[in-house]
Amino acid sequence: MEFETGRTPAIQITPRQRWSIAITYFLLVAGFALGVNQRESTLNLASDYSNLEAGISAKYPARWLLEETGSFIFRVRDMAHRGFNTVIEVSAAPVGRDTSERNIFDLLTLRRSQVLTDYAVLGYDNYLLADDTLAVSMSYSFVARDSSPFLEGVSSIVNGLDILTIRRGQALVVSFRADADIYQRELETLRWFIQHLEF
Amino acid sequence: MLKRCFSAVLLLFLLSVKAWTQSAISLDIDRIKRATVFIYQAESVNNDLVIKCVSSGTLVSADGLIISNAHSVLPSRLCAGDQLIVALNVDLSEPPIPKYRAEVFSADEGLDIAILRITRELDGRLIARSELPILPFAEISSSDDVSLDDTLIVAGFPDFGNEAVATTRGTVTAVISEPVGPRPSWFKTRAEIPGAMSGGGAYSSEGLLIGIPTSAPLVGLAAAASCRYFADTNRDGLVNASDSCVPIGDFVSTVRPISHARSLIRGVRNGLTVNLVSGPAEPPLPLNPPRVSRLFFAPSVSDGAPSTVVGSMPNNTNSLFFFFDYRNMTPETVYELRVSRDGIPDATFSLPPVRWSGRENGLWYIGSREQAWANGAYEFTLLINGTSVGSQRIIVGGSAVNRSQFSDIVFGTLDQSGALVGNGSILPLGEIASARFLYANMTLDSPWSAIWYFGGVEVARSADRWSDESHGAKVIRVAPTGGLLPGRYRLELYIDGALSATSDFIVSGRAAGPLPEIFSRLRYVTAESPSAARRATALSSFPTSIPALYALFDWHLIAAGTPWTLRWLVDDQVFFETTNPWQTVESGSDYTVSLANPADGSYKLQLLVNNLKLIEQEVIVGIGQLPIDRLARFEGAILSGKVIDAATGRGIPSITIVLIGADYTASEFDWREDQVYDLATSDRNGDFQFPRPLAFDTFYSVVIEADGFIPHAADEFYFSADQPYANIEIAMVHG
Amino acid sequence: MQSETRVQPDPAQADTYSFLPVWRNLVLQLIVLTSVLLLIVLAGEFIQPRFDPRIERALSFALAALPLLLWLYVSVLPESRVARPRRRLFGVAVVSALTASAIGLPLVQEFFRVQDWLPLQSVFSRILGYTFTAGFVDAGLKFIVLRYLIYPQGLRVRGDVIAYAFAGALGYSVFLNFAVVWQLEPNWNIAAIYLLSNVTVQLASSMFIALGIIESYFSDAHPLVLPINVLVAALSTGLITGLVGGFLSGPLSTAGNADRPLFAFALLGASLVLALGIVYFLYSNSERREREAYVSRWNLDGI
Repeated sequence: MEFETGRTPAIQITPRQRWSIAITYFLLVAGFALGVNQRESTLNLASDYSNLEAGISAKYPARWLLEETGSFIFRVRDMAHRGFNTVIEVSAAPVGRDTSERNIFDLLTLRRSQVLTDYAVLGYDNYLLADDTLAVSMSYSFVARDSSPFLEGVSSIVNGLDILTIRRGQALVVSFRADADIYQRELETLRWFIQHLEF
Repeated sequence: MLKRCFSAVLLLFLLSVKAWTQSAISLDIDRIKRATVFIYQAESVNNDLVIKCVSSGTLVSADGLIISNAHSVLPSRLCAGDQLIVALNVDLSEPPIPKYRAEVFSADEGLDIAILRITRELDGRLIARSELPILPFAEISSSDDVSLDDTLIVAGFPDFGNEAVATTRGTVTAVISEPVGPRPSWFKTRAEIPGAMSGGGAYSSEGLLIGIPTSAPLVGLAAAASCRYFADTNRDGLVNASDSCVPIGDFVSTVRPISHARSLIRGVRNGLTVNLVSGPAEPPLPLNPPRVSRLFFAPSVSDGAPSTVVGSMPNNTNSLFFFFDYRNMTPETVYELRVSRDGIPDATFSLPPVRWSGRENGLWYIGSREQAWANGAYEFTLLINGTSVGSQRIIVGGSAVNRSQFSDIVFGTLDQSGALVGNGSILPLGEIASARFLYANMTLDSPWSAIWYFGGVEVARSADRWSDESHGAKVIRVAPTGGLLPGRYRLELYIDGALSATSDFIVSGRAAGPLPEIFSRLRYVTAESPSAARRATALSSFPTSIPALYALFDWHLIAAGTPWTLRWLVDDQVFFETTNPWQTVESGSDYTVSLANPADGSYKLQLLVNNLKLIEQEVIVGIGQLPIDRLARFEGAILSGKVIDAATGRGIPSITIVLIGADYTASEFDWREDQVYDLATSDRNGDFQFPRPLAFDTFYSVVIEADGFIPHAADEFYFSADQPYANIEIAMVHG
Repeated sequence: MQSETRVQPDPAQADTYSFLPVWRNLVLQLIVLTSVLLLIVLAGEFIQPRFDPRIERALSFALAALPLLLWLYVSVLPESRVARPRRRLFGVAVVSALTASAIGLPLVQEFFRVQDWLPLQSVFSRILGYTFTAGFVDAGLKFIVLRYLIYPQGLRVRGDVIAYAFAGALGYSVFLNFAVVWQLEPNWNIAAIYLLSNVTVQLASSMFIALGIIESYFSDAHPLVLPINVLVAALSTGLITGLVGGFLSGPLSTAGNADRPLFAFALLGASLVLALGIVYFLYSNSERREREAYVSRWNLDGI
């Protein structure tokens, strides 16, 4: 004879079951926290960069493409992002005694307006660096398109932020550019980058 | 039975060979098509662009150098545009799409060759050379080895931007020579080449660029049938004959060999800009209309001069040259030669309307060697700007006649032993000029005469009865009153009042050995300015990155109008050559030529008169060798494809595909630029293409990482030479 | 307070079941569901039928709803014919679906943004990542739904836990099914894989949670048994989710690559069988142990 074992539904649960449920809740919270932690640790995985000649060391997000040939000291790009690849570029330029930050920004604006579509300066502001010194920043936007002429490239609206500080007779410009859709979110990456930048 | 087997095997072999050949050529044609561009010349009118001229063109370097016809890209009366827009083949089965703007960096109006460089985006933004994507380009070959019956594949756009790039196949039906530039001057073909394909590319059967199909629309006849009205350029609400039209020439049958463009390409490719500092401004264009005179035939040419003058040619003639004197010609002059045999047009030897590549005045010829002329009565009619300006007839056929003739005139001076010395066409200043010529089949007492000209004016004449043997060589001389003055001389020899031989020579410079000293003290300096250059110390080598290299030389006794040639070479390759009439004082010093921002290399300047090299000097800049262009050759596999979403089957835009160089595997790749061979990004349809060809027989790796998708990492991406194109589909799976 | 243990009559002896047999219905539904999905995957692989995109989309939505329809027909409607129906099945399914919609999916997609960073990690990291994100979120939410809707007031027999957990898994997965069809717009043959993946992941996870509840409630097991089962539930989510993408994605070569739906189907099928097998084994064990304990007690009392 087959039969099932059962019970009338309980109105209250036993202390052991209560403990069991409490531990489960704790486990769920812990698992959630571990998930957050894992996300943060994965997203904050970093690679090291140093350039003795330029006197710069930095950390940049792991699996971003590092480039050192061009009109910059170095540049890192998030190649996994679909759309405009978020880029952080560090460049240096000599400055004269009378050169102001604004002069350099104006030069950048003139140069970029020749090569970037719909380049527009959005505003200027101050930016606090990791060592509590104040730098100046210029935000701008432009339209980027994949440059291959043989394909139907996708245009993206790009927001950018230049952070400029003048030290030891040279201007150091950290240029950050990201797709406008994710710009605010990606600014966190820039802040993290600036925190680890030493020059 | 054996015979049948043999036939079957032979048939199979032939079929397989044919299939292999077809596949090989079809692969080449894809590459050719990708390198072909369509060029609009447009004029900015009230913030609008009005198309003035169109032509095909060919990319000849990965960084955007384009070769095309000069007549359709340089501003002129017919093509008055100031903007050049380059349309590329995004899809080989579709018409081209305007993508860039270009500028003319170097051009030869007469040769009708222009070298353009892509400099801006279509919206006018500047593009740095380093920012320009690697473009497909045609590899240039030597056109010197092309001969009759060789296969020609002509690529271009057959219509006014409405059709996809097309190729036409034909053979070389004639090889035509003219006095200017390397030989030959033209290839003729019977391939059907529409006028809009002018400026495109003519390729060998191996897919190498060997020429530029060239034809010139007639100036002044723009409103003819070959002119297209397609836009309301005068904004009157109608598209009609009162609007400006776009000229498109008739069918093209001539191809300018690429050897004529090599020096231009080399100069632009290496960023070498020559400035004739001491050269006068552009000479004014002649006011009088072009004229031709003294039309005659010669069986061969020697140093630009006819060997002899003939009125008929025997059976089996395979070399014939049509000569004429010309005046008031300009690079915009369009000339045409129509040849008919027994009253029927002969397309083989006719030259369709093309630009004038010679100087303003001189002696010209059009002819061919090693090509059979069928027997018949030929009539050569010369047209200038669409109007007949002269014709001459010659009979080809019959047995060879031993008629009296003079031939092979060379000029020089007599040494003490009475021997003629010199180079044959340039004499130093002196009292007496001598000419030696050959004679054959002469009969005693037959009247003959010699007439000497200086600057087109008769200066001496002798008439006599023949008293020498029937065959031999004879020397005659002229001693003009006041001696030989600098300038251009001509000798005409007549037998029985008929021109039998003629040749020109130049008198210039001081006597100094076999060659007169016309140029001297050729030296190099670097300086901030031409005036500083004249005071600077001459050196034989210079460091890298000098702002300018100046060449200075002195000159002696050159008459105004004397044609002279200035030729620059780098690493023994010509990158600049110009022949101009001398336009300054007869003698002087410090004629200055500058070369801006010369790259490292061994430079050499040569000065020539009448194709005779009179002086040359070498100088080293930097390491003495041009930098190696890693993209100079377009060889390898083109890897393209489509990235699709495995879930939907649709293309995914903006996926970056990383191609890792042969030295690393995907697992060794740690996201450094130096490990990357090339990057490609998918477009809105998911299509991608690596701009750089992949070297054959080399192992690459591929890494694809995109947010939201399972990544791909693969090694052993390997392509052999029999797989020059690879089109792959990559399915991305959502993670 | 411990409730009284009772003996239920043998269902085979009654005209109608006292409780609807849960395992048989569950297996029946899964066989029908996997058979239909396998047919679609095979058709996609070998015949490649293509329809108008709108029809394909409609088919995908129909497929997304198929588990729900099967469940309604096989599990919910027959409940009205049994003596002691499980009245909260539909409620559990609906609340689970709503939880997935309001909390589960937003947490995974908007907060954790797993789609942005997890797919790029190694297989091991992916499994761990999905375990601690989607795994814990899904398992936690489904546990909370069961805890507050049926635990303990709706639990009479072990089969109740399985039935309600199945309802929760179904509600949760059907919402995810609709979400994936809506967001990805997959072809219907690929949609079949995604749907099977959702069902497998949620069912496996729910079954382990159910096992924990059974052990905790019916066997008054050690307090760690339930959390361990929830952890295993999360881990099963991580394992299956972390692996299925790799199985579906074919290796890249110079010839390109293609997806491998049959590989993914095999993985999911095996996962489903394995998860259900383990749970059924432990469930049966638990049931047998209690039955044996009861019989021995009854025998003692009888003596």
